[in-house]
Amino acid sequence: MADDYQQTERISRYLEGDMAPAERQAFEAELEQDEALQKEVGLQKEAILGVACFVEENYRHAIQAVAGRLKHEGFFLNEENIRDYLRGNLEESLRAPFEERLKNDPAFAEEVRLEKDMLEGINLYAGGEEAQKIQRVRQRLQEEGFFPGQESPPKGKVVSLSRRRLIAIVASLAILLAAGLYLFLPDSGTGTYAGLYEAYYRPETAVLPALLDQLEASGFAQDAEQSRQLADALQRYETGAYAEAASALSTYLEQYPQDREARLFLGLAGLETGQYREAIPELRAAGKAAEPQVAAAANWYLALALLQTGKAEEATALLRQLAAGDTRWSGQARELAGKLSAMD
Amino acid sequence: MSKEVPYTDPKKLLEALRRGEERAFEQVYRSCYRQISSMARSNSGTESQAQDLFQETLLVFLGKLRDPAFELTSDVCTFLYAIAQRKWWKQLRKDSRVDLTLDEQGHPTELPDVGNLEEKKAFEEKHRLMSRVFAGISEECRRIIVEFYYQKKPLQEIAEKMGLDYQYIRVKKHRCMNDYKKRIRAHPDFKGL
Repeated sequence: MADDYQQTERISRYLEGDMAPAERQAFEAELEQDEALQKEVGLQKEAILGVACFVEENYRHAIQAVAGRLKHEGFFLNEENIRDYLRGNLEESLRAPFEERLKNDPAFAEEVRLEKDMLEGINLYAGGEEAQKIQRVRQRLQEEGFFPGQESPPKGKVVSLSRRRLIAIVASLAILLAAGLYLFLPDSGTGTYAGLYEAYYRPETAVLPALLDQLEASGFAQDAEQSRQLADALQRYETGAYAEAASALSTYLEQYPQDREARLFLGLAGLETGQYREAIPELRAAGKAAEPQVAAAANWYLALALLQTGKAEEATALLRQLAAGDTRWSGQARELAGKLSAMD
Repeated sequence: MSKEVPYTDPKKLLEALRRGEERAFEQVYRSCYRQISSMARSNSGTESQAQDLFQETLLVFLGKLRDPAFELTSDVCTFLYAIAQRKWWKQLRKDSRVDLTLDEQGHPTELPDVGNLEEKKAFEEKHRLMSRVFAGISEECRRIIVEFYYQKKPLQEIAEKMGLDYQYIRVKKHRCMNDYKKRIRAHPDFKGL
């Protein structure tokens, strides 16, 4: 066998298709006869595969290093983790990254605050219901003479109350009455639906940042101009210039009518500017998006828009569909559908 | 949290990904992870499975970037999402197939082909050994071999980028490969494989 270097060079030229036909033919004839050469060719092929393995391992290590760093700063935390944190159930290993991100990421802190308000609202509502139930049981028991040594207040007796207590009771009654009229009384007409809309409507915070991030990183070949136009319109929406955003999105959709994400934000801009009826067809179209998060967001806001315009039956059906899924809107959809059913 | 976007030019981002730059990986994580995680979690996945899926998706994408003829016609996130979705559905199908082939006693009716698994394991072990050996050769050699064999760049381009003469690099490539092979042969674990 030729010396190592020459052998390697020949095999390389053979494997890389760098041999003249006559030389190749001679090499192949030799290869057929020479077992050592066959092994050498095999080894060289394996060595090249080893290079791919080396590069892929390097990629893997680099990716793992990035993932580790992102994990440390709480990048992977999601809405379930926020709920666990607020309920005091967050896994111990996630506590430090959670607090780190809470400190450094204002958008995340806002998300946590919103979730907290929502949980408190649910607790308050549930607490109010509980208190009413207890009050009813207590009243019934009192009427049965259940409590020992109880005295019925003499009829016609004026019960004197301190001014502070009186103000507190009046204020509590006013709050309960207002809340009842606005939110819970089933026979108060469209005002109730509008009240539910107000109680449940929150600006969209899940799809928009992800979409803007995606557009920021895009601009690839064919759709660079499209991405720029959409990003421009969404940035207007993000800064609260809803009318401008709606106009920019309408122009954009004339050119790209199939863009469901743009339809979602055109619908949302409509909700923000009180154009509920106009928002409905846009949200309906966005609800057919392939991306589950976009479709779920569109359906949630569509249900709210339907509610606001008095189409409670359709809203309830849509909310039930959302409640059956597993999206960030499912919990709220379940709750709102429950309230609407209770109103029927 | 700061959102670094070091590469606003998509072509530069792809180049940086090819080079395996961590900040390019980080940019891709920050831009594309949420969508993929949401897709996996909305389809029976956990957060930890979503993280693994993203890592494997990124590796598949990097593999595609090796091909000089590969052209990205959509944005990176859309492309990654498509890969991730295919991988995830494949995984779900695989999981459900395992469930469907259990017999009445709950034993799998189709046992995995042990021979193939062992062959696969041996194959992977051999290449991991070669990868370790390759890490030991000179940096210049590693660069030439990786760019030529893995990134499939023409020798002329590698020579220009490294500021070397074409004839020199042509000979150097064979010498590097020869050194690499010698080291493989000399490795104590090589004969056992």
